[in-house]
Amino acid sequence: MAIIVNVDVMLARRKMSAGELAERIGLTPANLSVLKNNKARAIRFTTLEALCRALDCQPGDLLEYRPDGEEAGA
Amino acid sequence: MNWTKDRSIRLSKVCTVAIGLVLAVLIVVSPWSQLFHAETALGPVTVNWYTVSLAAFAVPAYAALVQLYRLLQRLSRGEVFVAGNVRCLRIISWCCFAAAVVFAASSLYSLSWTVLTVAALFGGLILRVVKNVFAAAVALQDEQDLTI
Repeated sequence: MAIIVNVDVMLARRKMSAGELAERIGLTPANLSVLKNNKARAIRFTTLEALCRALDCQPGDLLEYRPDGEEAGA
Repeated sequence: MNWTKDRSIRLSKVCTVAIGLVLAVLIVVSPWSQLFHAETALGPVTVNWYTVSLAAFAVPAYAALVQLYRLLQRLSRGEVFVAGNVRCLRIISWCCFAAAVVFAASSLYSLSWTVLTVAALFGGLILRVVKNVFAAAVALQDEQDLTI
């Protein structure tokens, strides 16, 4: 999947645990893990909105387009 | 009595087992039955062709009944659109086609089997289409499960 969800990066910046984030946005830890591990096929706007509100960031901070085979940007 | 989904599945399981028992009884009773009579003397042995047909039909029939029961077990656990159920439906459809072959061969001694041949072919075909629909539903379910 070429869309990467940088939840780990934002969690580190906000010094928040995954469990705390899951509880804040109403996701199960399992579903948040699916998102973090880039196993998700799609994300609802309501979920994206909840993530941005909880992590105080923009969708662009969370979503990154990385064409298959390219290295991660700086 | 409130009719629920669980009761419906339980009734289906009971019917599946009951049909298996009825088939077993038919196979056992058919050699002595005056109703199903198509005998040929092969030397000292008399072959009742209805018994042969029923016994041959029992193989795909019991295979289908086992798969039906497994499908119902998964349904009762809430597993509806899963790959296992697609496999069950595929096997049951092939069992219908196998039964059609048995019935077609049986038509050689009694034309009444021809009706069952056509019915089994249609049943197998309908189940194949249902299997295809289930396979599409499994793909949709996977997509839905991985939408966060």
